Amino acid sequence: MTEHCDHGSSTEAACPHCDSGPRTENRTLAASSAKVALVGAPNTGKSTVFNAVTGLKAKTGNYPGVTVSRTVGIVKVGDKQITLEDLPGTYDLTPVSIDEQVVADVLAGEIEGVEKPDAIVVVADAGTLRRSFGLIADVMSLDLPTVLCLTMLDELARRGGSIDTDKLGAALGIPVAAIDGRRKGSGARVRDLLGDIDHWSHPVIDPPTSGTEEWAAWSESVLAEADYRSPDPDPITERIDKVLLHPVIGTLIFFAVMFGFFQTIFAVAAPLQDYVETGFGHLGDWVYEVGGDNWLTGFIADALIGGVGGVLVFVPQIALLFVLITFLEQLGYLSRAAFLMDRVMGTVGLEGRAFVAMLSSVACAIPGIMATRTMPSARQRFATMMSLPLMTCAARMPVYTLLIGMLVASESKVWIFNAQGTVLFGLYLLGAISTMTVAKIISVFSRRRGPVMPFTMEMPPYRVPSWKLMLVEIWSPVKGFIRKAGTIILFATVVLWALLNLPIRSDAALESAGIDPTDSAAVSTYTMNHSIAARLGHSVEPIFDPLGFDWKTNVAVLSSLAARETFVATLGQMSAAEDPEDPAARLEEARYDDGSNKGDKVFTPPTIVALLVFFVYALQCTSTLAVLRRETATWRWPIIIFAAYSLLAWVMAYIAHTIAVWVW
Amino acid sequence: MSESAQPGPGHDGVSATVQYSTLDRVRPGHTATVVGISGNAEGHVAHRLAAMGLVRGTEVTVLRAAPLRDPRQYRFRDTSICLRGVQTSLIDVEISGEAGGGHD
Repeated sequence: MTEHCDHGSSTEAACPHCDSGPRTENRTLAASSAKVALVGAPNTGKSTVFNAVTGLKAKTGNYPGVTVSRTVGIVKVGDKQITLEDLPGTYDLTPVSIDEQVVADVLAGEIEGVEKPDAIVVVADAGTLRRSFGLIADVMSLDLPTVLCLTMLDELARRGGSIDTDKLGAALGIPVAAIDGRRKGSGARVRDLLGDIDHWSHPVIDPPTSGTEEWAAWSESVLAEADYRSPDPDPITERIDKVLLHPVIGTLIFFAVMFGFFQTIFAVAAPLQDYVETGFGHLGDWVYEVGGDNWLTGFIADALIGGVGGVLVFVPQIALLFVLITFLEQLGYLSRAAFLMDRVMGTVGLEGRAFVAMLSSVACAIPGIMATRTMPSARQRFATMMSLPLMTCAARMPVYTLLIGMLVASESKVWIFNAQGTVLFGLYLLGAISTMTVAKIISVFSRRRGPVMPFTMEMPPYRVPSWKLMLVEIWSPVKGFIRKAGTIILFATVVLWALLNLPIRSDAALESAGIDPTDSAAVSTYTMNHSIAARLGHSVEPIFDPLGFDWKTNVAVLSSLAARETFVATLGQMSAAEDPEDPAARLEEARYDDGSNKGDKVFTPPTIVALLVFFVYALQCTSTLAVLRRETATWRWPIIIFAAYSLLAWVMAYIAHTIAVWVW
Repeated sequence: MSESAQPGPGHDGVSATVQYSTLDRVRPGHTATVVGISGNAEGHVAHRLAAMGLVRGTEVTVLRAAPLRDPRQYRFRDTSICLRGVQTSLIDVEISGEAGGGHD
């Protein structure tokens, strides 16, 4: 134990008492600020501690050079400013995954631009305290001031366990604080400690190296001194697991959960989407009313509101997607799903966690690629990462919804299920099967042979999800989607509007072409048909004709290279130019205006099927390509994968088109 | 796969019999005590398993197997963890008493 010294607020260089023995580093903290790292195993309530201490005021970003997300919060304790850094979850400090490597590097001060922490807070779940002793021992051997923060003491007590935190602190030789995230103000004790790092007690001797018998004996003796009584296994979890992990019933429930997942996304989100759509429709009408019919109102109403609004319509659906995934994760079901799916994933050379990465990719490939960071095998990680863009992400949703809406009537049913939802489920299934097939191919041919690490996955007890944490988790991707709509998609829409409306024709030129300059619909149709975009759309006709696309669809497909959702925005813009009153009906009635099939409907089942299949495989997402470039540290892989998926998309769409023509 | 269970010291004794085996051969519902990690395990794998608490003396209960028999769910050191047979075949255990976890 350290003697308590009064340093005041000055920055004294050293104090003979604080240097308690040779093991403490010779440094004293500047009174005004300190950097504290928060470490803990996954599922221990680390985020709860972080939020309780910082009060939800976190800044998120990435570590320089790597994409492990970085969360930093600032806490004011008295006149001191504490920067609390929430590190990725880790079981010990011998890194096997990239996430764990980041933790080890940050704690060792080896990441450029990230200062070495002055102190460490270790978070441990009181119910699985034994499991945390590896991490506790590893952190304590770093010789930095350390505090142990125990969570879920209420759960420990409920399951018949107990612990004396003061005695635990005495046995370990470091301060121990208990925290209850569900109670307000429970972060106060940790905050007080953070304001007083100089006075934390230090252990007299280093704990034994983790994983040795001495270490096991040491942890048992510490637990005995703290009067620790292990909790009984959670009876509720045991009972639920008996059903959910049952070889037959559990598997059936798993498929039911997955099917329900997609039905919910479609059925529940649809009315919400209608509201947003109607709202943007009114907004567009209002712009025309106020501004009259000219090019500026056309730009605002059709390009900005029509284009960006057409994408923002999907906010409810995407939010719902993240609600469901976060809910299942916090409930503890995702690791059960990984357990059930591990063997299936094993057949393509992956592991259960790759399934969780695949499920995250249902929202967006980027969090999915991030989730692969917990995978210890470099080869599996590479194969998973490269195949994830084939999972049906939320950005495909607007495209699928639009196309399925034209393919199947909303009231039609397949047995008792909504037919549109069933088609959507089929597309998700096609995406998942393709992902696994490609992952298998990549892992067979990949030369990356890192060490094969054991597959170990903890099964946390089932817990009632916390609404507060869920909102935090959901807000960031939704914000990201809205930001994307406001940047990439807005930019693409504006560029496209320009391409569709240039060159501008004079009245005389219009008259000579036989167009009445006062007929605004005729003028905008003529302008669009003779625009730069039209020329581009026509120029790629040899490529897309076999798939049944007309030049307008080609323009939309080209624009979707920026982001998939732009496809919808572009088609919306073009139909609105021809019929501002009812663009949706106009789109459905679109007809080829040149070529051998002139006058025929464009969006026949074969064309729609070809488009759907094209979007299953094509990698039209600049954000994903950028992330893959960062993760593989080279442009080579993103370029190869982009070219390969574009080719695959065309081939598969051609096959689908051929089959559909034959069937219909 | 390693040798099947061998009779332990105390095999014919008055006290319970002790069988030696590997963790992957213990049947669901049964408990075994870790003797050590097999020398066949690569260094980093052995360290990872040991750091999880799979060291001599740790009691491990087999909870259940996944639908296709692999992986399986275990409980040790108050935590529920799933492991694949590839790893559990590297964990040497002893099974005491008539609880014996035969092999399947």
